[in-house]
Amino acid sequence: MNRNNLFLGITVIITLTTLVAGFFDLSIFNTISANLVNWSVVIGLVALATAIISLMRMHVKRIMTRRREWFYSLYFIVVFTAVCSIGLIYSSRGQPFMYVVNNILVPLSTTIYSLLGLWMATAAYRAFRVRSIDSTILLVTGIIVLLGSTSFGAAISPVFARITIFIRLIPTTAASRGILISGGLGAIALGIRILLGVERGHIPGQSK
Amino acid sequence: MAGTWIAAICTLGLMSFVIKDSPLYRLAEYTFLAVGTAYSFVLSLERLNPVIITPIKQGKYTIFIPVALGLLLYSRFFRGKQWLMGFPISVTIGVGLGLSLKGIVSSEIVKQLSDTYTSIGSLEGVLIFVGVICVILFFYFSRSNTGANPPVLAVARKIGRVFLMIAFGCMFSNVILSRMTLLLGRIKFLLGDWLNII
Repeated sequence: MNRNNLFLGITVIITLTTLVAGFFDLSIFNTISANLVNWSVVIGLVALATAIISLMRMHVKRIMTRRREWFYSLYFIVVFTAVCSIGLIYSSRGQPFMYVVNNILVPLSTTIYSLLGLWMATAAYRAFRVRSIDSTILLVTGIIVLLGSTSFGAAISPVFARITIFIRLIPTTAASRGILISGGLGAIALGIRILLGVERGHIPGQSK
Repeated sequence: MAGTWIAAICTLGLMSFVIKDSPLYRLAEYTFLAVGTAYSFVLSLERLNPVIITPIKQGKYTIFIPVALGLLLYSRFFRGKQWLMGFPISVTIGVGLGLSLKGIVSSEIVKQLSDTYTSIGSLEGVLIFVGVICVILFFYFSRSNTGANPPVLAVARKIGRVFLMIAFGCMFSNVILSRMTLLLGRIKFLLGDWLNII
C-alpha cells in the first residue's frame, strides 16, 4: 500500500464512521465519532502556530531582503507582537486587551466593511448597466428593494415596500432554496468523489 | 478620550483610500491585519487550556494522539518530510466530510424540500415550488445550456434564471443597505463621538 492509498483509506474510514454515527443510533459509533470531532478540534489548535510561522517567515524574509515597502512588514511584526503580549499578559478578557480591540480592531473592521459597500455600488453601476434582460431584471429588482427598504422609497410610494415584501417572500425564498438544494447535491457529489478516490487534492503531493 | 482619538485616526486612515492610496492608509491596513491576527491567535491560545491541558490533568491521555497528529502538520517546514502532513489532513478532511454530508442531507436537502412541499397549498407555496424546481433545473449541468434540450427544460431554465436574477438583485440591495448602515455608523462616530458636531 503506498502512502496516497493509506491517506485515502484513513479519510474513507473516518468519513464512514462519522456518517454512520449521524444516521444510525449505534452507541459505539457515536462515541468514536464524538472523539474524532474532538480530535479534529485539537489538531486545529495544535496546528495554529503553522499559520503564524508562515506569516512571520514571509514578513522577516521581506525585511531581510529589503523588498519594496519592507518597513510595513516591520511595523506588522511590532504591532502583532505587542498585541499578542498584551493578550497573553492580561488575557483576552482583560481591560488593556479589550481597549485595543474596541478602539482599534472594531473601528477598523467596521470601516473596511462599510467602504466595501462603496466599491460594490460602483462595481454594480458598471456590471448592471442595462445590457441584457437578465441584468435589467437584476437592476430593477435591486432598485425596488433599495427603495422599499428605506424611508425615501416610502415617501415616494408605499407600493415599493409591498413589492419588496413580495420579492423577499416568493422569488428570493424560491431561489435561495434552489441554490441550497443544488449546492447540497453538488457537495454530496464531491464527497462521493473524495470517498472513491477520484478527488485527491487534499493529499500532500497530489494536485488532482 | 485617547481611545476615541485612536479609533478616529484608524477610521480616517482607512477612509483616505477613497481619495488615494497613501502611507496613512497602508499603516491603518497593516494595523488591522496585525491586530486581527493577534486577536485570533490570543483567543486560540486560550482555548489550549480547556481543550488540551485540562483533559491531560484529568488523566485523559488519549488526547496525546490528536496532539501528535497536529504536530505532524509542522513537517511542512522540513524538506522531504512534508508527506507526514497527510495523516492530520486525512483525519480532518474525513471528520469534516462526514459531518458536512450529514448536515447537508438533513438541513440543505430534506428540510428545504419538505418546507417547499408542505407550503404548496397556497398560491405563494405554488409559486415557490415552481421557482425551486426551475432553479434546480437551471443548475442541471449534465445537459448544456446552449445545445438541443427538450422545450420543457429550456423554458424551466429560463424561468429559473429570472428567479435567480430577482433573488440576486434583492440580496445585493440588502448587502448594500447593511454596508451603508455601517458607513453611517462610522460617519456618526467621527462627527458625534470624536468632533462633537452632531
